[in-house]
Amino acid sequence: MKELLVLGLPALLAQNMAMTHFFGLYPLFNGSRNTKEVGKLSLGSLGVVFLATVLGYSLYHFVLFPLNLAYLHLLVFSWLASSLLVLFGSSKSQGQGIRAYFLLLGTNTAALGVALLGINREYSFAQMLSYSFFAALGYALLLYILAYLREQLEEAPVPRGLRGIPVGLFVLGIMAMALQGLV
Amino acid sequence: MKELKEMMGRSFYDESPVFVTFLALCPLLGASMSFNKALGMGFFVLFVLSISNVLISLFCQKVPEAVKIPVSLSIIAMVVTLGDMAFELLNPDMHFELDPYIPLVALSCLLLIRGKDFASQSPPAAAFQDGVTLGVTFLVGIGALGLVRELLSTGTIVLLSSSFTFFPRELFPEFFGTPPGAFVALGLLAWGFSELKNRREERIAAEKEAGEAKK
Repeated sequence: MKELLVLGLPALLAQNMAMTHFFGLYPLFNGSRNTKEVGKLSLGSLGVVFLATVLGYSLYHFVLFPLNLAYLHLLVFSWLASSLLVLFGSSKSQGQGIRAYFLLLGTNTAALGVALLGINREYSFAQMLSYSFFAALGYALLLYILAYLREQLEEAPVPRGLRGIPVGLFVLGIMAMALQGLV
Repeated sequence: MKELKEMMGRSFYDESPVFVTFLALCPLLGASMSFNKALGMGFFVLFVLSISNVLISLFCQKVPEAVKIPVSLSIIAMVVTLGDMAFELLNPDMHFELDPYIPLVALSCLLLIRGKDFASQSPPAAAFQDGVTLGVTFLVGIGALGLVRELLSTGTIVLLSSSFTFFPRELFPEFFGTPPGAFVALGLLAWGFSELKNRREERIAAEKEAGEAKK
């Protein structure tokens, strides 16, 4: 149990997947700034990232790899992503219309990234469970924090050319620098 | 020729996936530690984007709206898988260094948005042209980012197998080679780019005003 925690816990803050591996940056900058909606979005993405990572990893590890079909993993993962899009995207819990699709797709990119990292590092199923849970939790946390910061930045005196995403990149860079001190 | 120039200008200033819409951030930031890797990723995206645009335009014209996204995603995943294998065959070392970022292109929003919004409603030739212009724009952007990051973190540019040293390595710490440095470098470049864009827009507005005054 302790080993699993030691493996997974860094993924929460110090090696947060969005800040060290750049997974799933689209929803971070394009999600809603409304605190209530962001709460829903980050809870939803916690669920989606965890679910998609574990499902993708299990499909690869228990079905594709034993059958020598490992080269199909991208295709299978895109089917998984689109079925999740159909499942969650139509319930309208994550915003409106087509934008919600792309937010969900962004979180799916994050899930694919985490699953591929786990496959490359040859994690076992239990290790993958722990790693993906903490990675998803760290991602949801970052989504929430960044939405709040973007709301504050809206009123800050920012130069015209920096408005919007560029200043968000600076903020994320500074946060990443600070969190690297935890390693 | 003038038409082509205008189209490149529009794609570069208004739709650049690197500096304006920020659609492919994951492969962009992950693969730009050095100029070589950035070029590799840029050419890969150029290839995948143009091929997948053509295929989506061929297959998706008559597909109902509800399943357009799943079908486009499957086509993109197939093209990326093939491209991934070709990349591994051509340049195994760089493929290993770029490891998780090449397959990740399959789910990047850039390809799907272009495929769904543009390619699925236009003939194959137009879709191919769109893919190539957007891919070249991405290549230029990621090349610039790779150049800046490598220059500021090591002081040396390595192009293919020859290297050019501009200043000693000790002058800058390795900040721009690390993940936080990637965010800051892209932020700086995007700032410069939007100043450039504003200046261009002002110039165009001034020209228009002058033209109207002449009339």
